[in-house]
Amino acid sequence: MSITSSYADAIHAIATAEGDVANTRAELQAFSEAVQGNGELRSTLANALLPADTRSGIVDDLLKGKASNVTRSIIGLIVTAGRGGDLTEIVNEFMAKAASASGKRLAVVRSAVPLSADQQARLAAALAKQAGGPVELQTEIDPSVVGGVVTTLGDTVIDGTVRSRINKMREAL
Amino acid sequence: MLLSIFAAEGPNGPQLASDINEVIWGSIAFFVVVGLLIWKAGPAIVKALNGRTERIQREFDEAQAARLAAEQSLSATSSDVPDIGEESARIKAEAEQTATRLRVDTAARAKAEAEAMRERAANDIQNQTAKALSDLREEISSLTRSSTEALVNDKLDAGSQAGLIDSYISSLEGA
Repeated sequence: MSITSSYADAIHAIATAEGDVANTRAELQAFSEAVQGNGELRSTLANALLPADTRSGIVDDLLKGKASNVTRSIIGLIVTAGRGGDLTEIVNEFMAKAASASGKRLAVVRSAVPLSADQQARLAAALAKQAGGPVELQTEIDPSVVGGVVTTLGDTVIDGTVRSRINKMREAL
Repeated sequence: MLLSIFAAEGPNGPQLASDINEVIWGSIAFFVVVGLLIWKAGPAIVKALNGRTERIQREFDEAQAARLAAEQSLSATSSDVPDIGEESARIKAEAEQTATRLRVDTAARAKAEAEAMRERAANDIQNQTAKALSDLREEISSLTRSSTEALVNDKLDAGSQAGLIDSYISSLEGA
């Protein structure tokens, strides 16, 4: 078992014990996306030269009044332990475990613009049909895809992005 | 004066002793001594002379044999040494052969090296050409991609984005 998987198990156990899995997932995902989108924040949280208290204080300042105590404690634990650089992977692992625990498979969906609720429902249904079971979406905004959607379901990647089409055109040249 | 001398010498004259008996006994003693010498010392003297003769003859024979051996050795040595002129010609011929072989080898090696250099140069030119074409293709591709991305970004408004997502979902639903 990898370190990220161990942390994901621990977070899932804490969220389950607190009875706040759904909210914890949403807040962790939002924080993970915020960290991914901010290079300075990402490098600060991953900087082992900074004192643990300083990193923990940054997390508290960012999440104070915006996230539950459970979520703040979990992220504080990760950052204080010097795993700030692995935050995104840990959160992704946790999301997959949480989905699996609820009898669903996690599908990570990346798009340049947010999907509407109707689009998410249709996409979840289409993916469930292909996966042969219920699927839970984890949506991420990624401007680098330019347009369209790319979905990762387990080991399967379904790429329908403009970026991949441009890359194919470039290879054809 | 001579007459007075002869007269003074007595009856036997000046050549003989005055006493004839002394002459006789003296002669007998002389012959006895000579006889004894011939009888006793003669064989030893003859033997010594013969030995000396034999030794001289032996030394002469040995010298003769040594001379013959030396002549034979000289003859053998002379026959072993080849003729100087022939040896000189042989060495010259060998030198010419070696020079010819070296000339041929050097020419062949120079030709091979020139051929290899020409081949390397041709390969280098080919590689450089291929690399230049590849770089050019890459540059064109990069420019095309950049311009395409810029064009697409300009054209992709919210409606287009939603249309792309709907199209993606529809393709999954139809799969």
